Amino acid sequence: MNQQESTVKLVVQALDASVENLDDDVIRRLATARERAVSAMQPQWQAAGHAGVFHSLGNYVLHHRLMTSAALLLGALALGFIVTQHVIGQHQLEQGDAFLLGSELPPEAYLDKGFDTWLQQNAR
Amino acid sequence: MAATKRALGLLLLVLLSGPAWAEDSKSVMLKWSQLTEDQRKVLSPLSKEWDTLRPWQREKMLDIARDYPKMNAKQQARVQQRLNDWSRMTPFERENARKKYQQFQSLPPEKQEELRKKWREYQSLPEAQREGLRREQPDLYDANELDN
Amino acid sequence: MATAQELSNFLAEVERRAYRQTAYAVRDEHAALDIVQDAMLKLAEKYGARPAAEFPMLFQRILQNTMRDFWRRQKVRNLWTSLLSSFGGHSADDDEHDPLETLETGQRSEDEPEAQLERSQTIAIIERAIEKLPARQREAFLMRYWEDMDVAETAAAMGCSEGSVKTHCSRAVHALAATLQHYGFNQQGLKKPGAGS
Repeated sequence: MNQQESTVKLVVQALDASVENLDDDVIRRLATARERAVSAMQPQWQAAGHAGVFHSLGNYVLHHRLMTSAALLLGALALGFIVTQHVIGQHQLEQGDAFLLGSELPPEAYLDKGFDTWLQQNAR
Repeated sequence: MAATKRALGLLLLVLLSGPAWAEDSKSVMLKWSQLTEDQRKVLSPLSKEWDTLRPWQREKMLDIARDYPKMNAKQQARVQQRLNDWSRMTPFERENARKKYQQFQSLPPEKQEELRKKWREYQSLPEAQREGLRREQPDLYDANELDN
Repeated sequence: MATAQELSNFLAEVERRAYRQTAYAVRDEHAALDIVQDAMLKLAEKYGARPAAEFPMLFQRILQNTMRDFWRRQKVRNLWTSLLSSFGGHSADDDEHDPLETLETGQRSEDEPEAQLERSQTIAIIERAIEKLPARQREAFLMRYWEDMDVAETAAAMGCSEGSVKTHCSRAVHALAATLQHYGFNQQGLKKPGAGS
Protein backbone atom coordinates (compact mmCIF):
# COMPACT_ATOMS: atom_id res chain seq x y z
CA MET A 1 0.00 0.00 0.00
CA ASN A 2 1.52 3.32 -0.96
CA GLN A 3 1.48 6.38 1.22
CA GLN A 4 -1.50 7.96 -0.50
CA GLU A 5 -3.65 4.93 -0.09
CA SER A 6 -2.75 4.57 3.55
CA THR A 7 -3.51 8.24 4.14
CA VAL A 8 -6.93 7.86 2.59
CA LYS A 9 -7.57 4.74 4.61
CA LEU A 10 -6.58 6.31 7.90
CA VAL A 11 -8.58 9.48 7.26
CA VAL A 12 -11.67 7.53 6.28
CA GLN A 13 -11.39 5.40 9.41
CA ALA A 14 -11.19 8.53 11.54
CA LEU A 15 -14.18 10.05 9.79
CA ASP A 16 -16.20 6.88 10.30
CA ALA A 17 -15.26 6.95 13.96
CA SER A 18 -16.40 10.55 14.28
CA VAL A 19 -19.83 9.52 13.03
CA GLU A 20 -20.07 6.86 15.70
CA ASN A 21 -19.60 9.52 18.35
CA LEU A 22 -22.52 11.73 17.37
CA ASP A 23 -24.75 13.20 20.07
CA ASP A 24 -28.03 11.44 20.69
CA ASP A 25 -29.74 14.76 20.19
CA VAL A 26 -28.18 15.18 16.75
CA ILE A 27 -29.12 11.65 15.77
CA ARG A 28 -32.69 12.25 16.83
CA ARG A 29 -32.93 15.54 14.99
CA LEU A 30 -31.53 13.98 11.83
CA ALA A 31 -34.13 11.22 12.03
CA THR A 32 -36.90 13.78 12.48
CA ALA A 33 -35.61 15.75 9.51
CA ARG A 34 -35.57 12.57 7.44
CA GLU A 35 -39.17 11.76 8.34
CA ARG A 36 -40.21 15.26 7.38
CA ALA A 37 -38.43 15.03 4.08
CA VAL A 38 -39.96 11.65 3.28
CA SER A 39 -43.43 12.94 4.03
CA ALA A 40 -42.77 15.98 1.89
CA MET A 41 -42.27 13.57 -0.99
CA GLN A 42 -45.72 12.09 -0.54
CA PRO A 43 -47.99 14.46 -2.49
CA GLN A 44 -46.59 13.67 -5.96
CA TRP A 45 -46.19 10.07 -5.13
CA GLN A 46 -49.63 9.82 -3.68
CA ALA A 47 -51.20 11.55 -6.66
CA ALA A 48 -49.56 9.08 -9.00
CA GLY A 49 -50.12 6.05 -6.82
CA HIS A 50 -53.65 6.75 -5.70
CA ALA A 51 -55.47 6.55 -8.99
CA GLY A 52 -53.55 3.43 -9.88
CA VAL A 53 -54.41 1.61 -6.72
CA PHE A 54 -58.10 2.21 -6.54
CA HIS A 55 -59.17 2.43 -10.15
CA SER A 56 -57.43 -0.68 -11.23
CA LEU A 57 -58.49 -2.53 -8.13
CA GLY A 58 -62.08 -1.55 -8.60
CA ASN A 59 -62.83 -3.36 -5.43
CA TYR A 60 -64.54 -1.23 -2.90
CA VAL A 61 -64.76 -3.96 -0.31
CA LEU A 62 -61.03 -4.33 -0.27
CA HIS A 63 -60.72 -0.57 -0.39
CA HIS A 64 -62.91 -0.28 2.64
CA ARG A 65 -61.08 -2.96 4.56
CA LEU A 66 -57.74 -1.40 3.72
CA MET A 67 -58.91 1.99 4.87
CA THR A 68 -60.07 0.59 8.19
CA SER A 69 -56.76 -1.08 8.94
CA ALA A 70 -54.97 1.99 7.68
CA ALA A 71 -56.98 4.14 10.06
CA LEU A 72 -56.16 1.86 12.97
CA LEU A 73 -52.49 1.90 12.07
CA LEU A 74 -52.56 5.62 11.68
CA GLY A 75 -54.11 6.04 15.10
CA ALA A 76 -51.36 3.99 16.68
CA LEU A 77 -48.70 5.90 14.81
CA ALA A 78 -50.21 9.23 15.75
CA LEU A 79 -50.22 8.26 19.39
CA GLY A 80 -46.60 7.14 19.23
CA PHE A 81 -45.59 10.28 17.46
CA ILE A 82 -47.34 12.59 19.87
CA VAL A 83 -45.71 10.84 22.81
CA THR A 84 -42.27 11.15 21.19
CA GLN A 85 -42.81 14.79 20.35
CA HIS A 86 -43.86 15.44 23.88
CA VAL A 87 -40.66 13.96 25.22
CA ILE A 88 -38.53 15.87 22.73
CA GLY A 89 -40.42 19.07 23.46
CA GLN A 90 -39.59 18.84 27.12
CA HIS A 91 -35.91 18.62 26.32
CA GLN A 92 -35.97 21.97 24.62
CA LEU A 93 -37.71 23.83 27.41
CA GLU A 94 -34.66 25.68 28.65
CA GLN A 95 -33.22 27.34 25.59
CA GLY A 96 -36.23 29.19 24.28
CA ASP A 97 -36.15 31.86 21.62
CA ALA A 98 -38.59 33.83 23.77
CA PHE A 99 -35.86 34.63 26.27
CA LEU A 100 -33.45 35.63 23.56
CA LEU A 101 -36.01 38.03 22.12
CA GLY A 102 -36.96 39.33 25.54
CA SER A 103 -33.41 40.09 26.67
CA GLU A 104 -32.11 43.62 26.67
CA LEU A 105 -29.59 43.02 23.93
CA PRO A 106 -31.55 42.56 20.68
CA PRO A 107 -30.82 39.71 18.23
CA GLU A 108 -29.26 42.18 15.77
CA ALA A 109 -26.54 42.86 18.29
CA TYR A 110 -25.31 39.33 17.82
CA LEU A 111 -25.30 39.57 14.06
CA ASP A 112 -24.14 43.10 13.31
CA LYS A 113 -20.64 42.89 11.90
CA GLY A 114 -20.09 46.57 12.54
CA PHE A 115 -20.69 45.97 16.22
CA ASP A 116 -18.00 43.28 16.17
CA THR A 117 -15.53 45.74 14.74
CA TRP A 118 -16.64 48.35 17.23
CA LEU A 119 -16.07 45.91 20.10
CA GLN A 120 -12.72 44.93 18.75
CA GLN A 121 -11.57 48.51 18.45
CA ASN A 122 -12.82 49.41 21.88
CA ALA A 123 -11.72 46.31 23.73
CA ARG A 124 -9.64 47.47 26.64
CA MET B 1 -51.17 -11.40 -6.63
CA ALA B 2 -50.98 -7.94 -8.11
CA ALA B 3 -53.71 -6.85 -5.74
CA THR B 4 -51.76 -8.08 -2.74
CA LYS B 5 -48.73 -6.21 -3.97
CA ARG B 6 -50.74 -3.06 -4.34
CA ALA B 7 -52.29 -3.50 -0.93
CA LEU B 8 -48.83 -3.80 0.53
CA GLY B 9 -47.79 -0.71 -1.35
CA LEU B 10 -50.68 1.23 0.08
CA LEU B 11 -49.89 0.02 3.56
CA LEU B 12 -46.35 1.19 3.11
CA LEU B 13 -47.59 4.52 1.89
CA VAL B 14 -49.76 4.88 4.95
CA LEU B 15 -46.92 3.82 7.19
CA LEU B 16 -44.58 6.37 5.74
CA SER B 17 -46.96 9.27 5.62
CA GLY B 18 -48.39 8.49 9.02
CA PRO B 19 -46.07 10.74 10.97
CA ALA B 20 -46.80 13.67 8.69
CA TRP B 21 -50.51 13.43 9.25
CA ALA B 22 -50.05 12.88 12.91
CA GLU B 23 -47.90 15.96 12.96
CA ASP B 24 -50.67 17.98 11.36
CA SER B 25 -53.00 16.83 14.03
CA LYS B 26 -50.50 17.93 16.62
CA SER B 27 -49.59 21.53 16.01
CA VAL B 28 -46.79 22.04 13.61
CA MET B 29 -48.76 22.69 10.47
CA LEU B 30 -51.42 24.70 12.25
CA LYS B 31 -52.79 27.54 10.20
CA TRP B 32 -53.11 30.97 11.74
CA SER B 33 -56.83 30.51 12.09
CA GLN B 34 -56.28 27.31 14.05
CA LEU B 35 -54.14 28.84 16.79
CA THR B 36 -55.61 29.45 20.21
CA GLU B 37 -56.58 32.96 21.16
CA ASP B 38 -53.60 33.24 23.51
CA GLN B 39 -51.18 32.08 20.87
CA ARG B 40 -52.59 34.54 18.38
CA LYS B 41 -52.29 37.37 20.87
CA VAL B 42 -48.60 36.71 21.47
CA LEU B 43 -47.80 36.05 17.85
CA SER B 44 -50.01 38.81 16.43
CA PRO B 45 -47.08 40.57 14.71
CA LEU B 46 -46.81 37.44 12.56
CA SER B 47 -50.48 37.14 11.62
CA LYS B 48 -49.88 38.03 7.98
CA GLU B 49 -46.94 35.75 7.35
CA TRP B 50 -47.74 32.86 9.64
CA ASP B 51 -49.07 30.59 6.93
CA THR B 52 -45.86 30.96 4.94
CA LEU B 53 -43.58 29.82 7.75
CA ARG B 54 -41.84 26.49 7.55
CA PRO B 55 -43.10 23.76 9.93
CA TRP B 56 -40.12 23.94 12.25
CA GLN B 57 -40.28 27.70 12.25
CA ARG B 58 -43.88 27.51 13.40
CA GLU B 59 -42.81 25.08 16.05
CA LYS B 60 -40.23 27.55 17.35
CA MET B 61 -42.74 30.39 17.28
CA LEU B 62 -45.25 28.32 19.23
CA ASP B 63 -42.51 27.71 21.78
CA ILE B 64 -42.19 31.46 22.12
CA ALA B 65 -45.90 31.72 22.78
CA ARG B 66 -45.55 28.96 25.37
CA ASP B 67 -42.74 30.70 27.26
CA TYR B 68 -44.27 34.15 26.94
CA PRO B 69 -46.36 34.03 30.13
CA LYS B 70 -43.22 33.26 32.14
CA MET B 71 -41.71 36.63 31.29
CA ASN B 72 -42.12 40.06 32.82
CA ALA B 73 -43.90 42.92 31.07
CA LYS B 74 -40.71 44.51 29.80
CA GLN B 75 -39.48 41.30 28.25
CA GLN B 76 -42.89 40.64 26.74
CA ALA B 77 -42.90 44.05 25.11
CA ARG B 78 -39.49 43.36 23.58
CA VAL B 79 -40.65 40.02 22.25
CA GLN B 80 -43.62 41.68 20.56
CA GLN B 81 -41.45 44.36 19.07
CA ARG B 82 -38.83 41.94 17.71
CA LEU B 83 -40.94 39.04 16.49
CA ASN B 84 -41.29 40.31 12.97
CA ASP B 85 -37.62 40.85 12.31
CA TRP B 86 -36.90 37.57 13.97
CA SER B 87 -39.18 35.61 11.68
CA ARG B 88 -37.57 37.22 8.64
CA MET B 89 -34.02 36.30 9.51
CA THR B 90 -32.49 33.30 7.80
CA PRO B 91 -32.32 30.07 9.79
CA PHE B 92 -28.57 30.57 9.97
CA GLU B 93 -28.86 34.04 11.38
CA ARG B 94 -31.26 32.81 13.99
CA GLU B 95 -28.99 29.93 14.96
CA ASN B 96 -26.07 32.28 15.07
CA ALA B 97 -27.96 34.60 17.38
CA ARG B 98 -29.03 31.69 19.60
CA LYS B 99 -25.48 30.52 19.96
CA LYS B 100 -24.17 33.93 20.78
CA TYR B 101 -27.00 34.56 23.18
CA GLN B 102 -25.92 31.45 25.07
CA GLN B 103 -22.35 32.69 25.12
CA PHE B 104 -23.57 36.05 26.31
CA GLN B 105 -25.43 34.43 29.16
CA SER B 106 -22.34 32.56 30.24
CA LEU B 107 -20.54 35.85 30.81
CA PRO B 108 -20.30 37.30 34.31
CA PRO B 109 -22.89 40.06 34.96
CA GLU B 110 -20.40 42.91 34.76
CA LYS B 111 -19.21 41.76 31.32
CA GLN B 112 -22.82 41.49 30.20
CA GLU B 113 -23.40 45.03 31.33
CA GLU B 114 -20.27 46.16 29.55
CA LEU B 115 -21.52 44.65 26.31
CA ARG B 116 -24.93 46.25 26.69
CA LYS B 117 -23.25 49.59 27.23
CA LYS B 118 -21.08 49.08 24.16
CA TRP B 119 -24.16 48.24 22.14
CA ARG B 120 -25.85 51.47 23.26
CA GLU B 121 -22.74 53.42 22.31
CA TYR B 122 -22.63 51.69 18.97
CA GLN B 123 -26.30 52.45 18.39
CA SER B 124 -25.67 56.12 19.01
CA LEU B 125 -23.10 56.33 16.23
CA PRO B 126 -24.22 57.85 12.92
CA GLU B 127 -25.41 55.17 10.49
CA ALA B 128 -22.61 56.06 8.04
CA GLN B 129 -20.02 55.29 10.65
CA ARG B 130 -21.67 52.00 11.54
CA GLU B 131 -21.76 51.09 7.88
CA GLY B 132 -18.06 51.86 7.69
CA LEU B 133 -17.40 49.58 10.63
CA ARG B 134 -19.38 46.81 8.99
CA ARG B 135 -17.21 47.04 5.91
CA GLU B 136 -13.99 46.99 7.87
CA GLN B 137 -14.35 43.39 8.87
CA PRO B 138 -11.99 41.08 7.07
CA ASP B 139 -13.48 38.28 5.03
CA LEU B 140 -12.72 35.03 6.67
CA TYR B 141 -13.54 32.99 3.64
CA ASP B 142 -12.17 34.55 0.53
CA ALA B 143 -13.90 34.12 -2.77
CA ASN B 144 -11.11 31.93 -4.16
CA GLU B 145 -11.91 29.21 -1.76
CA LEU B 146 -15.41 28.97 -3.15
CA ASP B 147 -14.97 29.34 -6.83
CA ASN B 148 -11.78 27.63 -7.81
CA MET C 1 -38.83 6.53 -10.07
CA ALA C 2 -37.84 6.22 -6.43
CA THR C 3 -40.27 5.14 -3.75
CA ALA C 4 -40.65 6.84 -0.40
CA GLN C 5 -39.01 3.83 1.19
CA GLU C 6 -36.00 4.18 -1.07
CA LEU C 7 -35.71 7.84 -0.17
CA SER C 8 -35.99 7.05 3.50
CA ASN C 9 -33.35 4.33 3.27
CA PHE C 10 -31.03 6.57 1.35
CA LEU C 11 -31.30 9.41 3.84
CA ALA C 12 -30.89 7.10 6.81
CA GLU C 13 -27.74 5.77 5.20
CA VAL C 14 -26.13 9.14 4.51
CA GLU C 15 -27.56 11.58 7.06
CA ARG C 16 -24.89 11.24 9.74
CA ARG C 17 -22.01 11.53 7.33
CA ALA C 18 -23.75 14.43 5.62
CA TYR C 19 -24.05 16.15 8.96
CA ARG C 20 -20.37 15.70 9.82
CA GLN C 21 -19.36 16.73 6.33
CA THR C 22 -21.42 19.90 6.63
CA ALA C 23 -20.09 20.62 10.09
CA TYR C 24 -16.52 20.37 8.77
CA ALA C 25 -17.39 22.89 6.12
CA VAL C 26 -19.42 25.44 8.07
CA ARG C 27 -17.78 24.87 11.46
CA ASP C 28 -21.07 25.42 13.19
CA GLU C 29 -23.02 22.41 14.33
CA HIS C 30 -26.37 24.15 14.57
CA ALA C 31 -26.05 25.54 11.09
CA ALA C 32 -24.94 22.11 9.87
CA LEU C 33 -28.15 20.56 11.15
CA ASP C 34 -30.21 23.25 9.48
CA ILE C 35 -28.37 22.80 6.21
CA VAL C 36 -28.81 19.02 6.20
CA GLN C 37 -32.50 19.43 7.06
CA ASP C 38 -32.99 21.86 4.22
CA ALA C 39 -31.08 19.67 1.79
CA MET C 40 -33.16 16.62 2.71
CA LEU C 41 -36.35 18.53 2.15
CA LYS C 42 -35.20 19.89 -1.18
CA LEU C 43 -34.21 16.44 -2.35
CA ALA C 44 -37.62 15.06 -1.42
CA GLU C 45 -39.63 17.95 -2.80
CA LYS C 46 -37.79 18.56 -6.04
CA TYR C 47 -36.14 15.31 -6.93
CA GLY C 48 -38.32 12.70 -5.27
CA ALA C 49 -39.43 11.48 -8.66
CA ARG C 50 -35.88 10.75 -9.84
CA PRO C 51 -34.44 7.24 -9.75
CA ALA C 52 -32.94 6.34 -6.40
CA ALA C 53 -29.59 5.66 -8.05
CA GLU C 54 -29.25 9.39 -8.66
CA PHE C 55 -29.83 10.33 -5.04
CA PRO C 56 -26.18 10.35 -3.92
CA MET C 57 -25.14 12.77 -6.63
CA LEU C 58 -28.28 14.92 -6.32
CA PHE C 59 -28.12 15.07 -2.57
CA GLN C 60 -24.47 16.09 -2.60
CA ARG C 61 -25.20 18.78 -5.14
CA ILE C 62 -28.07 20.14 -3.07
CA LEU C 63 -25.96 19.95 0.06
CA GLN C 64 -23.14 21.89 -1.59
CA ASN C 65 -25.55 24.53 -2.86
CA THR C 66 -27.20 24.91 0.50
CA MET C 67 -23.79 25.30 2.08
CA ARG C 68 -22.81 27.83 -0.50
CA ASP C 69 -25.90 29.89 0.34
CA PHE C 70 -24.71 29.69 3.89
CA TRP C 71 -21.26 30.98 2.92
CA ARG C 72 -22.77 33.87 1.02
CA ARG C 73 -24.68 34.93 4.06
CA GLN C 74 -21.75 34.31 6.37
CA LYS C 75 -18.90 35.60 4.21
CA VAL C 76 -17.76 37.75 6.99
CA ARG C 77 -17.47 35.72 10.08
CA ASN C 78 -18.81 37.08 13.26
CA LEU C 79 -16.00 37.72 15.69
CA TRP C 80 -18.08 37.43 18.81
CA THR C 81 -16.63 34.10 19.73
CA SER C 82 -13.08 35.30 20.09
CA LEU C 83 -14.18 38.63 21.47
CA LEU C 84 -16.25 37.05 24.16
CA SER C 85 -13.44 34.79 25.17
CA SER C 86 -11.17 37.81 25.43
CA PHE C 87 -13.90 39.25 27.62
CA GLY C 88 -13.44 36.22 29.82
CA GLY C 89 -16.54 34.22 28.95
CA HIS C 90 -16.56 30.48 28.86
CA SER C 91 -18.57 28.96 26.17
CA ALA C 92 -19.31 25.34 25.51
CA ASP C 93 -18.92 25.64 21.78
CA ASP C 94 -16.11 28.10 21.48
CA ASP C 95 -14.37 27.45 18.18
CA GLU C 96 -10.98 27.93 19.67
CA HIS C 97 -11.29 25.33 22.37
CA ASP C 98 -9.26 22.20 22.41
CA PRO C 99 -10.78 19.79 19.92
CA LEU C 100 -9.85 16.88 22.14
CA GLU C 101 -12.25 17.88 24.86
CA THR C 102 -15.40 17.25 22.89
CA LEU C 103 -14.23 13.94 21.66
CA GLU C 104 -13.19 12.70 25.01
CA THR C 105 -16.42 13.61 26.71
CA GLY C 106 -18.23 11.84 23.91
CA GLN C 107 -16.56 8.59 24.82
CA ARG C 108 -17.12 6.30 27.72
CA SER C 109 -14.01 5.61 29.70
CA GLU C 110 -13.36 1.99 29.02
CA ASP C 111 -10.74 -0.57 29.80
CA GLU C 112 -7.99 0.92 27.66
CA PRO C 113 -7.80 4.56 28.55
CA GLU C 114 -4.47 5.13 26.87
CA ALA C 115 -5.30 3.54 23.56
CA GLN C 116 -8.62 5.30 23.76
CA LEU C 117 -6.99 8.66 24.25
CA GLU C 118 -4.60 8.06 21.43
CA ARG C 119 -7.45 7.10 19.19
CA SER C 120 -9.53 10.13 20.00
CA GLN C 121 -6.52 12.38 19.54
CA THR C 122 -5.93 10.89 16.14
CA ILE C 123 -9.54 11.44 15.18
CA ALA C 124 -9.44 15.03 16.40
CA ILE C 125 -6.29 15.83 14.47
CA ILE C 126 -7.67 14.31 11.30
CA GLU C 127 -10.97 16.15 11.67
CA ARG C 128 -9.11 19.40 12.13
CA ALA C 129 -7.03 18.66 9.03
CA ILE C 130 -10.21 18.00 7.05
CA GLU C 131 -11.66 21.30 8.22
CA LYS C 132 -8.57 23.15 7.14
CA LEU C 133 -8.65 21.91 3.55
CA PRO C 134 -9.86 24.40 0.95
CA ALA C 135 -13.59 23.90 0.43
CA ARG C 136 -13.41 22.30 -3.00
CA GLN C 137 -10.67 19.91 -2.00
CA ARG C 138 -12.62 18.84 1.05
CA GLU C 139 -15.80 18.31 -0.96
CA ALA C 140 -14.02 16.26 -3.58
CA PHE C 141 -12.17 14.19 -1.03
CA LEU C 142 -15.23 13.43 1.06
CA MET C 143 -17.39 12.51 -1.89
CA ARG C 144 -14.80 10.32 -3.54
CA TYR C 145 -13.43 8.51 -0.54
CA TRP C 146 -16.04 8.77 2.17
CA GLU C 147 -19.20 8.66 0.12
CA ASP C 148 -17.59 6.27 -2.33
CA MET C 149 -18.85 8.21 -5.32
CA ASP C 150 -17.01 7.76 -8.58
CA VAL C 151 -15.20 10.57 -10.38
CA ALA C 152 -18.08 11.20 -12.79
CA GLU C 153 -20.66 11.42 -10.02
CA THR C 154 -18.45 13.68 -7.96
CA ALA C 155 -17.89 15.93 -10.95
CA ALA C 156 -21.63 16.11 -11.58
CA ALA C 157 -22.31 16.94 -7.95
CA MET C 158 -19.62 19.60 -7.86
CA GLY C 159 -20.45 21.04 -11.25
CA CYS C 160 -16.88 20.78 -12.50
CA SER C 161 -14.86 18.59 -14.84
CA GLU C 162 -13.62 15.13 -13.93
CA GLY C 163 -10.10 16.46 -14.30
CA SER C 164 -10.72 19.06 -11.59
CA VAL C 165 -12.12 16.39 -9.29
CA LYS C 166 -8.91 14.41 -9.67
CA THR C 167 -6.81 17.50 -9.05
CA HIS C 168 -8.78 18.46 -5.96
CA CYS C 169 -8.57 14.93 -4.61
CA SER C 170 -4.89 14.58 -5.17
CA ARG C 171 -4.14 17.93 -3.53
CA ALA C 172 -6.35 17.01 -0.60
CA VAL C 173 -4.58 13.69 -0.11
CA HIS C 174 -1.19 15.38 -0.24
CA ALA C 175 -2.21 18.00 2.29
CA LEU C 176 -3.66 15.36 4.59
CA ALA C 177 -0.58 13.15 4.26
CA ALA C 178 1.61 16.12 5.16
CA THR C 179 -0.45 16.84 8.24
CA LEU C 180 -0.35 13.23 9.36
CA GLN C 181 3.37 13.12 8.86
CA HIS C 182 3.75 16.32 10.78
CA TYR C 183 2.05 14.68 13.73
CA GLY C 184 4.21 11.61 13.31
CA PHE C 185 1.53 9.07 12.48
CA ASN C 186 2.85 5.75 11.41
CA GLN C 187 -0.24 5.29 9.25
CA GLN C 188 -0.92 1.84 10.56
CA GLY C 189 -4.58 2.57 10.69
CA LEU C 190 -6.78 3.47 13.56
CA LYS C 191 -6.87 1.11 16.50
CA LYS C 192 -10.33 0.04 17.53
CA PRO C 193 -10.87 0.57 21.23
CA GLY C 194 -10.61 -2.78 22.95
CA ALA C 195 -9.23 -4.52 19.88
CA GLY C 196 -5.95 -5.66 21.38
CA SER C 197 -2.94 -3.51 22.17
